[in-house]
Parts: sequence; C-alpha cells; structure tokens
Amino acid sequence: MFEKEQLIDINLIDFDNNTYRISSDVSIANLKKSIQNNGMLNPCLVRKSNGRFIVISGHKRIIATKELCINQVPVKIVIEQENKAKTDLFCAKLSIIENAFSRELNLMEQARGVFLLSESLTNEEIATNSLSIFNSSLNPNIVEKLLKIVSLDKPVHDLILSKKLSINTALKLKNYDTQIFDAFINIFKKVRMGQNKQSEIIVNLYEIAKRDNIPLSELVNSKEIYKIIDHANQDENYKGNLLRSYLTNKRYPELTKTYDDHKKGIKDLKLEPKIKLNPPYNFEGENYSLSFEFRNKKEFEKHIQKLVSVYKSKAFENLIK
Amino acid sequence: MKIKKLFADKETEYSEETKLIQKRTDLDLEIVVNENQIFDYINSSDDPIQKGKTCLYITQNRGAIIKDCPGTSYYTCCDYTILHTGTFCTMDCSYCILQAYFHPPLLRYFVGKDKISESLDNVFSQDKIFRIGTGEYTDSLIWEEISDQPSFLVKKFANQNNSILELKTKTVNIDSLQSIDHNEKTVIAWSLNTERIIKSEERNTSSLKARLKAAKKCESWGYKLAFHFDPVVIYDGCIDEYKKVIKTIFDYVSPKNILWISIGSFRFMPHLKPLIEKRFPDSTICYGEFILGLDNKMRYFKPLRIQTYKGIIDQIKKYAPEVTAYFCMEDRKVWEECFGFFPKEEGALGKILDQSAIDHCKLKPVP
Repeated sequence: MFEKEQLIDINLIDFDNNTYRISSDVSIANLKKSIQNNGMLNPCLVRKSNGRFIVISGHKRIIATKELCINQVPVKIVIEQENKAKTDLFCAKLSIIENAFSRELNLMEQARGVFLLSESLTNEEIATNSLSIFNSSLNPNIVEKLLKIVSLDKPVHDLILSKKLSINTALKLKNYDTQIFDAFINIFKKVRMGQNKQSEIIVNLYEIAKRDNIPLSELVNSKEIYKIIDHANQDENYKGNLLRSYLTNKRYPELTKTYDDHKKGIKDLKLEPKIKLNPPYNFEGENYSLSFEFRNKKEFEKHIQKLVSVYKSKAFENLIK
Repeated sequence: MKIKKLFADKETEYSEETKLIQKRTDLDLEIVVNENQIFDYINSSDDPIQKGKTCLYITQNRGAIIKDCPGTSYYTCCDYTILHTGTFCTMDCSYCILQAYFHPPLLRYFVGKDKISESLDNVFSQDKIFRIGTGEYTDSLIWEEISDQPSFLVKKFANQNNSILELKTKTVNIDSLQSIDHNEKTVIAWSLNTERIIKSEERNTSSLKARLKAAKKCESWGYKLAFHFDPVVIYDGCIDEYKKVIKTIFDYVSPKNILWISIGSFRFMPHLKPLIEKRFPDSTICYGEFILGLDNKMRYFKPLRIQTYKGIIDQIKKYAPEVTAYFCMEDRKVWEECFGFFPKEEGALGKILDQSAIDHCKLKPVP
C-alpha cells in the first residue's frame, strides 16, 4: 500500500494540485508553532505523479512546513497499482478517512469527499460504505445533494458552513440564473432564518414576480428588499422576520390585512394575556376559539367576569361580525 | 388534441362501439392483456399527462356506472348523480383536477351500452328526481366525434320522466344531437370562463363565442341549457370580465331555456400546484390568495370569493332574474352574503335544482 516512510524535498510537492484536498480553510498559525517546536509528528500521505508528488493528506502541515522554510517533509508514498483506477479510489478514500476519523467533517468537506469518490463509486455504493469512509452514515439522497452543492461557488459554501443557508435552499437556488442566484445569496447572507423560512422567502418572491409579471431579478434586487436587509443596526433574525412579513403582506394582501384587523380587534378587547381568542382557521370556517389559563378559583372568576364584560362590549361585536 | 393510439381489452375488441371508434379515429387497434402495458407506455413519456390525452383505451367499466357526486361535509353540494362512461379529456386545461386524479391519467371509453341501459332503467323506475351527468370525470361531448355514446344517452333519457341528462362540455361537438327526439330530457351545458382565462388556461377548447353559438343551435333544436362558471378565477378586472361573459350569454340564448347557472371558484388539491407549474409554466392561476379550505383543498380567501361572486350574481340577476343560480361547494356565509339565503337542510340545494328540472324538462314531480 505504502512505501516506507521517507523525507522528500518540499519543492517536489505539486502545490497546484488540490485533487485530494477536502478540508476547509482554517488558520495554520498554531500548527506552524507546533511544527516549529515539536516537528511533524505524523507523515503526510502523497502519491507520485510525473516525477512530483500530489498531497493526499496533510495539506496544512505541508503548507506550514513550506512557510517555515523547512526543506524536507516526512511522507508515506502510496504504491501505484497496475490498475490506476484502483489507486485513484484508494487515494480518494485515504484523503477522507484521514480527516473523518480524527475529527467531524463539516458539510462541505463531506461534499468534496463524496465528489472525489463519485469518480469511482455510485451514490448507492458511497452511501453503503459511508460509515467506514466518512465515519458517519450518509444515505443516497444526501449523497446526491452533497454532489450537487460541490459545484457552487465558495461564498455559497461559506454560507452553508456558517449555517445561514441550508443545502436544500442552496439546491433550490441552483435552478435560477446567476443574477438571481447572487441576489438570493446576498439576502441570506444578511438575514438569519431556518430552511423552511428561506423556502418561504424564495416561493413568495417567485410567486409575486409571476403574478405581477415582473422579472424576478428586479424583485429580488428591489430597493424595498435592500432597505430591509441592509439596515445597519438591526439584528439578522429581526431583519429576517421583517423580510418575511413584508413578503407575506405583498403575496397575501387581503389575508394579511384581515389578520392585522383581527389582531387590532383583539387588542381593543383588552384581554388578559392568559385569555386567548383565536379566529376561524384562515377565516374560512365559522368557529372562533377561546381558551384561558387560571391558577385558582379566584383567577377563574376574574376571567369569567372579564369575558362577560367583553361579551357586552361593542369591540367584541365588531370583532366577530 | 388528436387521439394517436388506440388500445382495447380482449373482451371489447369486437364490440360495435369499438368498431365505430376505430373507424372514426382511423387508427390500428392494439389489444392489451393488462392495462399496465398502457401505463408503462404513457409513463415512459416526459409528460405522461399529455401522452394520456392522446391514447384511448377502450375497456369496460368494472366499477359503479352510476354514483353520487362526492361532496364534502362542510361545503354545500348539489347532490348530483354521475354517470361514469369514460375518463379524462382530450382538451388541456391548466386547472383540471383530472391531471392529478388518475394515476396515470388516461383516456378511457367504457363500452357496454347494455350495462348503462340497465343501470339507467333502475334509476328511471324510482320515485325520485335525478340530475345525471357524464361530465365529472371527462368532458361529455369529446366522445361525440368518435362514438355514438352521447346520442345513445340522449335517446335513452327521452323515454322516461324522472331524470334529466346533463352533457357538460367545452367543445362544440353537437352535430349528432340535432335530429334526435330528446323529449326535453337532455340539458346541454357549457363551462364558461372569461376570454382571458379561456385563452391562457384552457388549451384546445372552443372559444367563448363558439360555445355560445353552439348553445344557440342546441336551443333552436329544443334542448334546454345550463352554464357553469367553474372555476371562477380571481384576477384584477375579473368581475367586469365575468359580467361581460354573462351579458354575452343572453345575446345568444334566452333565459327561459336555462335550467341553472352554477358558480364555483378555483379550488385545487395542493399536489396539483406543482403539476400546473410544470405543465403550464406561463400560467399564474396558482398565485392567487389561496388558503387551505376545510376540505383540504386550496381555495381563494373567503372575502375575495364573496366579492367576486357578488359581481357575477348581480349580473345574472340583471339579465336573467328568473334563472336558478347556485354555488358549487360553498358555505353558509358565502350563500347568505351573496344570495341572501342558505339552503341549510341536507338536500335543500338539490331540491331547488330538481324543481328547475321539473319546470323546464317536463319531469313528473315526485309524489
């Protein structure tokens, strides 16, 4: 599998070839200090290619070594088999295993790993072997999704890693042209929300554009949206809620207005917070619902008295007419 | 849409109905042992729905020939009776529920006039008024071009006095109905919509004018008529456009020959939406203000329905105050706000429509 461990000249490393690089960028400052003080504890894995070496595992260590101006680096060289495809698969597996069994891979690292394996294995085979390669279980559906996100740009990968963009949302956006894609990415960079809410934003924008016969690119880049997402002093979650509310209002103006009027009507009743009066579902049925919480008989009596006075009020009549 | 492929069961291969269809379509007949052969053929297409519209399967109805219209508990149903003579449609309306109703959707023609006749005789012998239609799972008159089924039914209904046959269509396939002695027991009904909706959502259907011209012809042949505004689609300016359609109806036909005008807004099972988006990418019909109704179908937010209905009903009252208008699947509030009353009791709406059938079609009232 490997030739015995040896030192090679660092200049023989092909730094331009990142075929087996699956790890995300992180600072190597501490690693450099460690190598400077303790040396490189484990050899890097490399394979020969046209008289030079491609790194399979240990990219950061080799860069650190180079930056420390150390001329030689300890490596284990993969023995090339007659069947090149077999060596390719072996090296691909090594590059993932080396990382996956020393720490948890993030989504983009998994995606890059899956991409590497996809040269030799089907999605089903990757899924079946995932525990022994990725140290975690991947199903074929996830494998397929990971494969699709590899080709997205780095800023998108960064958003996924920072958990500001779900894989499903990224894949949905992939269907749009670059201009629209970038505009959505810009939105999700500036607001924070979960996958379902991101889907809601995309669907609402798409449907408003279709309904109003305006280009989606125009709508996602509209000044109203920028005004919300570019507000400097506001929390990302808050901006997300503002954006959702703006779009829901635009997509469902009558329904939103009715809910707003209802809320105002409830406010006019001046109910205790423990009393909840809900309208018919979507205002489609006819049944309002009322519930309240109480701790004891006295509180129960207080609520009843309040409800009796509400029942007699004009505000209540207006609310349920 | 033209039928391009003809399949039949072994049992139906030599029936007179099959022979007639084969002759009129001028297609070779492919005999199938198992209908899955046809499903595989259809499903291999990029658009199985479209494919299903060009493949006709001549078979037997192995289920109920006559059944009640499936209503729901919350919304008021008209207690219609369905005569199940075929499925699916050669026309292609974006909003059509049949796209999502059959798996896969396929044009089926049910041979067996004897069985239909027998089932109808059972209905005709009852002391009850029946309003029976073939337009629930298919368009009633697409079959007129390739079979004699519509004329057979018209003749069959002519010889009884407790039921009316409603042939509901968006076609103008009426020629074979001209010289039949229908005894006023058949109502020819057209689904109508605004010119804009017909153009944008109803592929391969006849134009509004053509439908109304056909209605006028049928009227002149003594047939009674009905019109269905279903689905009413809500968009900017729709009320004025629906009003214009209503006014136009009475440029062609007389209110006294109209049994009823039904009104129902666009509603759909949620899983129809992605189908519409895929098959009709230019359609915006799904992007109205829909909410999930109490029958688990998407329907327009109630105040919008009420506002639109009011405009339509005002116009019907203006031009034909005596015509029976009714809602298909609406609730108490909508009825009361738009019509000023609600057929509250179970079967009450059905009775209103029965009465119109009695008045117009010389049915024998139920004792």
